[in-house]
Amino acid sequence: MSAAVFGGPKLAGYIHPASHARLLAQLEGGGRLSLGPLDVELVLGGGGTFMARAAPTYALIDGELERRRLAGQWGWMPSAAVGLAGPLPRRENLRWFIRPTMLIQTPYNAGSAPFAVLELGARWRR
Amino acid sequence: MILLLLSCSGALDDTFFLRVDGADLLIDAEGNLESGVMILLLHGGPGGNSQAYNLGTWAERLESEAVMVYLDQRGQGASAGSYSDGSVTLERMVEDVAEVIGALRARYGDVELYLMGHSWGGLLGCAALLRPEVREEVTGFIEIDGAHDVPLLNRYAVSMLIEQGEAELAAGRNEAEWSEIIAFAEGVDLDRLTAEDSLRINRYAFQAEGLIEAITWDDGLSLWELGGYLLASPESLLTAWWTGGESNLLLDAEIEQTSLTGQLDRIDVPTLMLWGGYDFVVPAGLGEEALAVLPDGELVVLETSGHSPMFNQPDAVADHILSFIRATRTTP
Repeated sequence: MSAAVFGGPKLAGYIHPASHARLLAQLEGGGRLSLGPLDVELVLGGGGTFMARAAPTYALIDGELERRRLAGQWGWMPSAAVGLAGPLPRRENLRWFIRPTMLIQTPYNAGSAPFAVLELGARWRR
Repeated sequence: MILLLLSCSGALDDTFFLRVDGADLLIDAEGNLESGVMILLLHGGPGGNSQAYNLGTWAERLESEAVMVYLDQRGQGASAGSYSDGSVTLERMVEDVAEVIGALRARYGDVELYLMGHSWGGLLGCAALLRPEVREEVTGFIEIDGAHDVPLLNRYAVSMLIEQGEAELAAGRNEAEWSEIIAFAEGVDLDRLTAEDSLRINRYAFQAEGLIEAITWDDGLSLWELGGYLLASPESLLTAWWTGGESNLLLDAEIEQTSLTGQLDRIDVPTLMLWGGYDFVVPAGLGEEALAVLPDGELVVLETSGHSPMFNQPDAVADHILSFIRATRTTP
């Protein structure tokens, strides 16, 4: 058993087919406890996000609807997660991870809003 | 454009967002566009969402004979944006309703438009209809257990909790629960009502409704349909719950003081009021007082319904709404 800290940039995204799609760019860091080949990780992150809509957005201008391209919401997005990581076969420096993650988008409406996601990914590990 | 949105059966399923003053409002139009009738639904809350109404027998029946327009109001459901606290007011939300009506006209043309509001949506609908430009666009108004007078509804709720509670005690039903409810209601000082009192009246009212065995439920509400709502609705439920709660907090102080009964005489469009006989949250007494003021109103009390008759007596609700539309629409 060993412990270490880690950090770095992250690019992520997801699609909720009925609701929205999101791009997320963050710097994240945390600590891991290695138990054999598996790591238990606590990860905190922060960065920017863009949430695009699953349906078109219009504005009413002089009684006509005008399409708004690239409509959606920009915002800041901190996150917190606890998860597991492990080695990828035949990829010595890559580790898979799975993390239930809580994201908070701000601003969102008149305040902030939470989004719960399950992150699946791979990250570089020296 | 409209032809592109229609399937071979004439059914419409059209979802889009409308950008209004910093908010992107979700509009989901589903139903029979060939009917020439649209019903714009204002959901309850504040803090609710529209897709919770797109369930069960009542939605299926109304969508077969009209288009239901499910709108997520500012700061609620899947509607999102970025704006200040000061943009979450009744007046701003009335402007949103007017803008949505304009968008429906622009997208679907000259349809017969009905406004329907449930609970808080009833208050919002009444407030919108006080504006002449909204009345001009609307053929009729359907208010379901509408909270258009919050100070008055608190008075009725307290009376009803005591009266129904004593009847339930006399019948030997749920004695501990009703005793607590009656003790609370008798302790409320209606002349010095605080926001905390109002919140507690609301909580006890929902508790009381849950104790009434006579209330019926929609047999057509399947677990499959509820699962679809949880997993496939445009609303992310955690996000909708959170942001709806924020909007509720921002609106609460204003709506606690909002009393529209004295202005309802200005709503001269045909109005159908549907009320649950066992609605402790917004008691039917509010509808009776509105009936005395509305120039063209009708009140139907549904005997085995609580605060949400659309899920308690869905066929009766659909029957009354569709009859009202047939009787009031101005085109064949």
